[in-house]
Amino acid sequence: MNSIGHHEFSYRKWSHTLLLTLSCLITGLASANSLRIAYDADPVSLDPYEQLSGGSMQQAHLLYDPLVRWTTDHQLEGRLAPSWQRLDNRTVRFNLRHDVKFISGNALTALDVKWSLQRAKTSADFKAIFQPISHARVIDAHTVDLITDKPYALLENIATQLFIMDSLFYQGFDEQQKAKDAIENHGHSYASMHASGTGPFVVIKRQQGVEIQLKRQADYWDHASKGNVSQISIIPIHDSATRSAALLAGDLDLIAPVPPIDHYRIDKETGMHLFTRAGARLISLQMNQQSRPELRDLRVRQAIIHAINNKGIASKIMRGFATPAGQQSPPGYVGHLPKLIPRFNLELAKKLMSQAGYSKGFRLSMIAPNNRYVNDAKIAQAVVIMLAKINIEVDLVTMPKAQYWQKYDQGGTDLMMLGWHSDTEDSANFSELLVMCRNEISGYGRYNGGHYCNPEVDRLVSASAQQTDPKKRAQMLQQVEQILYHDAAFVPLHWQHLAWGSRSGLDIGNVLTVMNVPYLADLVINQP
Amino acid sequence: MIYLPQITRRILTGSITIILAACVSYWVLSLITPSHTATLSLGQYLNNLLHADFGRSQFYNLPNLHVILEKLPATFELVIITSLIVALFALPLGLYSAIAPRQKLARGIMAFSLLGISLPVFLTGSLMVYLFAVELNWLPAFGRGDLVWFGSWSSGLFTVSGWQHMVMPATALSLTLLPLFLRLIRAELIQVMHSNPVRLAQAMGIAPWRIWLRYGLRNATLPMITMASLQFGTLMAYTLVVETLFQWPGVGSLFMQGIIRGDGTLIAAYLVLVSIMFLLFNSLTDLAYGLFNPHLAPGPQPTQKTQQHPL
Amino acid sequence: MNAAKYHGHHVWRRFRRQQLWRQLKANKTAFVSAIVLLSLGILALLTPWISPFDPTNMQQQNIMDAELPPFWQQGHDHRFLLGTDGLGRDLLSSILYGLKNSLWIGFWAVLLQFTLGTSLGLCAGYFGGWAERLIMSLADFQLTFSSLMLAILTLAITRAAMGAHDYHMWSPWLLVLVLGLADWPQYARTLRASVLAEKHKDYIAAAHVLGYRSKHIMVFHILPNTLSPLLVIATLQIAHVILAEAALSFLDIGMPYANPSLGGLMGAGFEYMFSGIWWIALLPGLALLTLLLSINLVADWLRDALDPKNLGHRP
Repeated sequence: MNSIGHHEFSYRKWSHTLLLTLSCLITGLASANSLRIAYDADPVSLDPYEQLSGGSMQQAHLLYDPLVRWTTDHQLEGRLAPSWQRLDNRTVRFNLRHDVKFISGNALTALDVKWSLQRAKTSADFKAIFQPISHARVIDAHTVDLITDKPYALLENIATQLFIMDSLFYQGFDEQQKAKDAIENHGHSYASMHASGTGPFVVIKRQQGVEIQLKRQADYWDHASKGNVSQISIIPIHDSATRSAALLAGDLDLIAPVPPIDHYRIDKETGMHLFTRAGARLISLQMNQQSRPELRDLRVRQAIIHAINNKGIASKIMRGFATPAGQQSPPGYVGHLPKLIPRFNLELAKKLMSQAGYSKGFRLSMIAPNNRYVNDAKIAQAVVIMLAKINIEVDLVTMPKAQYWQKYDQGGTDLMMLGWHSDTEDSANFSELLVMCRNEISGYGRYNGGHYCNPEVDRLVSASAQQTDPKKRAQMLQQVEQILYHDAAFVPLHWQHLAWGSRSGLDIGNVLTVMNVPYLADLVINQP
Repeated sequence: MIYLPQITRRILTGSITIILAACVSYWVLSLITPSHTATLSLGQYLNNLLHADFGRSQFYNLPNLHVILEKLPATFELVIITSLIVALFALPLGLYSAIAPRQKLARGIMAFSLLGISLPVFLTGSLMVYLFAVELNWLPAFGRGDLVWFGSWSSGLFTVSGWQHMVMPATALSLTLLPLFLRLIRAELIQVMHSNPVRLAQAMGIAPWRIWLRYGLRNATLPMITMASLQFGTLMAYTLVVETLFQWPGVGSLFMQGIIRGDGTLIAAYLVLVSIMFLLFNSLTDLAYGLFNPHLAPGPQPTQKTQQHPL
Repeated sequence: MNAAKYHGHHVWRRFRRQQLWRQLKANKTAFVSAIVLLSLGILALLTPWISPFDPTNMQQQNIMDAELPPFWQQGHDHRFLLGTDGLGRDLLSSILYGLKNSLWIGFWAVLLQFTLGTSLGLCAGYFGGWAERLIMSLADFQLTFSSLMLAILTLAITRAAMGAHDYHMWSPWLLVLVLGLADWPQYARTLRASVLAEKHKDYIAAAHVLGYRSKHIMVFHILPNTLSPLLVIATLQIAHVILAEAALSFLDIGMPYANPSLGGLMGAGFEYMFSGIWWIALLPGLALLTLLLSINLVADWLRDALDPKNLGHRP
């Protein structure tokens, strides 16, 4: 092994040197600190407000800056607003940096903040998040107040989501006579193809589904950052085996997610580095009560939950790389209630089915993405097998996430897979978007594909937003979990952990937030 | 220029094929995205095609022609390198096993060729990825590597990494066709070697290598061209598999992704373009046929020997 | 019927005279591969009875049994001789069912090709004239497109149009239909060539003199005498169809997961290979290779054995 390893090393070194010189000579593109990344899929749009998703958020932090952001140890850190003060229990004042310019050359002002907030509040996906903030008040060019209707404790948390876009750049109409600031889900709006932000990187080339090339902004305002990544190329590789193989073959510097099956391999390989962390992304199934009368029966929903061996999924398909879930909130969240544990019990499930009068079973349709969550399609396939045991025959269709969300939004499917990471790192966010009654105007229940609706849950979640006593607030959110558990509102599967694979010399763990967003601008690459 | 009528006939039937393919692709489009054809009549669609307007891809939101042409160099280079490998190995190996059929090496070659036609390309491909990319780390597992741009044409043939990336897909692809050509050349040559002119030449004491080259290879050329024209489709089919396996960013993987994404206009455009490529390739082989055989040029007539790829 | 006697390589006649059997016994490779092929065929026929599990029945699967290794490796489970796949399905049963499906599709698709090809070839030979020209140009036309290419295009489009679920319900039949319709020209061409060659032979002339009608001669005299090359093509085509089906299933436009096929099993097992769980992809691959190799070897032998030129030297 040793001699082979040595030979291989010198060979790779040789080829790398030659490769570098050659490509530098010919293309002048590859530079020492370029980063080649493969994700499972690419975001559908450059617009940070088109789709509420992890990929979209990761990209937004490259092209835009929020007012404040979470540090890797989960503290708030000033970005475009280096300082802020709480004026009263409804208002927070943000002082903006003076030296920030957008890519277009326009200078950042408080008007951009006001405009970005207004725009975000019209986005179907984001309106629920920004719902508590009623408006922004411009004090002067570099001072702005964010104001809520009611007392609201988590306003700064929401500000981490407020990416500031160039208000002047998006004025007027594009050649198709559509407003440049229009937000169109799955559409091809102007903003989805043109980005003007203040972020550390600029798009050089973007081909949907193939590659996005980014270059570091020469005069990025954050001079304190030690990051030395000058170029980034992100490619979507849908097939997780190919993604791992490409990293192992030295074609890539960084991949995410690493399928659990490859953890061991990448970890033990010299020159490779595996970073893992317990995650808070809930993987769940929505049971559509609108499309199926059977699913309106509490016993049927409970039977489905009892038939699914989520511990088995976590230990086998996820290889222990997930925590089986019995509720929405992961451990450590205020709403987490330790007694709500997974409840796999096949006998009870069968009993519940026959009590409901469906011992002969029925058919359900199901959709799941195949490039969104770790092992999503395989989990869905396992669910099909498990439900077969209570005579529920499931017609499963899996699809790439670009199509998946369109299909999800259309509704009409009986079972739908949904993964959710709280946008505010708080239990209430789960409930607001996943289980509160659907409301087009407020945006609550935006991803409530099950059409579950319980006024008591709505009342408790809304009240919790104004509750300033943390203890009482926790009690309210725990009560919500208890109700959801009893109502079998959804099928909790597990909380998915995070895994990044890289070549050694770059430690993604140093720049990765708990929300799984890497601050690539701050990443330091050490040449091996 | 006796073979001119043959070519005009080919172009004529080819044009009919393309029109048929266009109609089929319109029908396909109406199946996959009915909303699209609701506002676009068949006549309009054909007219658009005539003006090189292949519609816009629903996924990329770019003209299909643009999307496909961007991927074409990758497939083109893969196919060219594969053909070169096949030609480079099939000729000497076929020649050798025809001249010395009872030698151990020749038997080995024949055994290899039989194994070759029984080995599915995805099995060899996966084994190669596992062995050379994952276990030994010798070769990259996917993609084309560093590219050099000549205008809008991207080429991987001018960088080391480009060649490294080419090795596995081209080898896997050529392993499917090599056994076929090898067996064909051998069969043709054995027949020629037993023919009267060759026997006469041998009796006259002409050097064996001259006989092999003068009679053998020349006679093997025509069936090879015929075979090539027949195997073009097989090659295209296998690019779909190989490109998917190695994530080779060519038109084959583009098409397979289009299928998964349900990108109707892209699928339709691919169909039309592939039928055009068929016409071009077949006309080229006609030309080659006439070039190598100016005396009797009935055009490629597939014989029983040049049957389709038995895989 | 006397006339046919003059013709040496009537395939059934040779079977009866045990020439083929003797030739087979003399050729070791062919003999072994014929036995392997026969055993695989018997296994496929008996699959529903000998398979330890029914891989199409999800009631028998348990996620807790996932990724178990085959019996010679540590950590195996005695219930699963060749281990299990990523969702806890017995690999041996899946391979047996895959074998059955491969042979099933191969058989029916080739039968369809054979019927279509020979009828069209006979029509061409019998009617002559414009019908012949039409059929033969159609055959030329069809030959320029590879059958695998046609199959991929047709099935991929059907899948995109039907949606995955409906498609998977119909996929075995669609595969037979597509692979069966695609490859008829080889039979037609061979048959027509033979018809043209046989037409002027003495025994046909004799049959004419004896007062048989052309149609009768065509079906009862010419067709049996051209069976040998057709049989060789058909054998090779079975391998072709099986491989094409495997490629399609590997690309996920063939058989669905719930109805295992060798190619589909390999496609599903591909990603496990990188982490050392090689058996999910490679065992079905090995089965497929064995099947194809034995068919090809038998076909190779059959071609030599039935070649009229080789008739002179009998063992």
